[in-house]
Amino acid sequence: MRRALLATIATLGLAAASPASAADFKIVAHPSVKASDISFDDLKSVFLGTRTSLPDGSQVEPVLAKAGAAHGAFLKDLGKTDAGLSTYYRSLVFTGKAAMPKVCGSDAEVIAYVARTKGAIGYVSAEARAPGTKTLGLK
Amino acid sequence: MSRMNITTKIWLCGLIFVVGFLFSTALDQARALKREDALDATSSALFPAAQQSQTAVAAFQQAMKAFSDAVLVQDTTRLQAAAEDGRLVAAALHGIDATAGVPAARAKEADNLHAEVERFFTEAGATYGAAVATSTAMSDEVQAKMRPLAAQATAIGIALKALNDGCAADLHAELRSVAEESKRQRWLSLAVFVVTLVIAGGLVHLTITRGISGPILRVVEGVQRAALAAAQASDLMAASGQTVAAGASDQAASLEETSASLEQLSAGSREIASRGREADAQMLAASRVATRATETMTAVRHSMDQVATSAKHVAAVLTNIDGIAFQTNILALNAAVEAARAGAAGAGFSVVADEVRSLAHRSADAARNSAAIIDKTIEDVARGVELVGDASKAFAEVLTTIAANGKVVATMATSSVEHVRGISHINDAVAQIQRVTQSNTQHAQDTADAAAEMREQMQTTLAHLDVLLAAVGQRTRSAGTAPSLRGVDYAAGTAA
Repeated sequence: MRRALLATIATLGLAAASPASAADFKIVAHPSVKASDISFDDLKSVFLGTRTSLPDGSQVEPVLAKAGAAHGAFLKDLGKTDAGLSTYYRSLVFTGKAAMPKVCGSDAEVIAYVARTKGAIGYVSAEARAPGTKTLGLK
Repeated sequence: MSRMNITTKIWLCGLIFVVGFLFSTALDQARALKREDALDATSSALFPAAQQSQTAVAAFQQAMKAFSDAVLVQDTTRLQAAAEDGRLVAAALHGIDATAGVPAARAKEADNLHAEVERFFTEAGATYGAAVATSTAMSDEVQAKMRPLAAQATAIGIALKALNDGCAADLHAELRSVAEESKRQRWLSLAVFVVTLVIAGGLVHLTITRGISGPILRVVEGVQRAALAAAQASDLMAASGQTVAAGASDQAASLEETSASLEQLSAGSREIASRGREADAQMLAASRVATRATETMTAVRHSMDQVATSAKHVAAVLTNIDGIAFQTNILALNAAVEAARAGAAGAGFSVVADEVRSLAHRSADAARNSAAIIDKTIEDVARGVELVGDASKAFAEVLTTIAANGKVVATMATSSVEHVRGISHINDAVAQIQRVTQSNTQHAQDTADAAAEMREQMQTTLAHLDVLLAAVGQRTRSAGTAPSLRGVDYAAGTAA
């Protein structure tokens, strides 16, 4: 009984920590990225410019989408609005901590940029096909 | 110094104290003027510089905030505010550079920063203006310009902060220097004051010790010795008084006895005088008796002379009787011879003749015996006459002696009277001596009482001296080596 209760609490905790709409997008990366999956915290750090490498040492470059369902779901999981993220990146640029990330107009542009740019990592719709890229699982 | 009196010495000490105080005050004033100059320099240069540096830092932070706001929210009005803040920064830095009294290194640093800030704001205005103008994404060129600008802004911020810290450090250093100077001055003033106080205190101490305590101690010592000697003398006086009183009492008793003896002597002398007068009368009577005896002796002498004459007459008669007896004997012899011649007829006659001759012999013997007796009588009478003469002479001498004795007795009587008078005078004198002795006894007792009182007063004096000694910070006699009445053999009058 006690063990069942602990298992239930753990399950609820994992459910709360996990992105709510992770199923609406998927993470694509350049094949040079060694990792096959990424935690959401690492993903958030990469896309908020606070880190430029993954725990396995791979240098990464975030690629943003301008619009789309995946963009909305990603921003929702990131906890920011489109304007807020833009202001955030402007502040990073203003303080010299980071450059503005690459912004692509569609999933296809994202996939194309990721496929040709070493270390690039982006998000696209879950159902989008992403040739030349490596899909990373979210932990 | 030693010739000054105590008042002068105390005034001198006070003067030294005042001079030290004035010197300390003058030193304080001089230092205070210097401190005020330093504070003036601080308030007119370092403090404004620190303020302006702080203004520069704040204005620069506001400018950067305005730039940030402008870039983030893409508000061009914030760019103007940033430019205004930039002018404030430049003006503050120029103010630091232009303020007289600011350290040259600090002024140079402000001048350099001023130029750098002006360049930065010129560049930042253009770059951030371009960044504000772009909509979503900034061009790489703008980003490339913003990155060094951010580093430059950080460097300028650090430099401004360093300048501000430097100005604050200059201000603090100056204020600390002023504070240190003030502290040094305070300690120096305190030291001068303390030294003055110590010197004045030392002089006061010396003055009090030598000028007041010393003389007081010497006086106290002298008074102690005098009191001790007086106490000893008073004890001696008390003992002497007691002895004198006892002696006077003994003397009074002796005088009583002497007076009684004198009374007896006077009575004896009066008796002697009376007896002398009686002896004089007796002498007079004896003289008369002796005179009568002398006259009787003279009469006896005459009688003896007449006896001698009568005896001589008797002797002459006896001589005749002896002649008659001789002639009778011769006649008897003749008768016997005749009777013998007469034979028988004469025998009777011869007996008568024998008887006659015997009678003649017996008459001759009687006459011879009577003659002898008469001779003896004459001799005795002659001797009696001599004796009577001697007796007369003796009586005369007796008279002379009696007269002389009478004179002597009279003289003795007179002397006795004078003796009685003298004894009376002696009695009076003894009575006077008794009165004087009684007075002396009383006075001796009074002297002993006064000596005891004096000793108590001396003890009280010594107790007061103890208080005085305690007042001048000396140990009391009982605690120290000062002479004590307790260690004195008062009977012997010597200190133990």
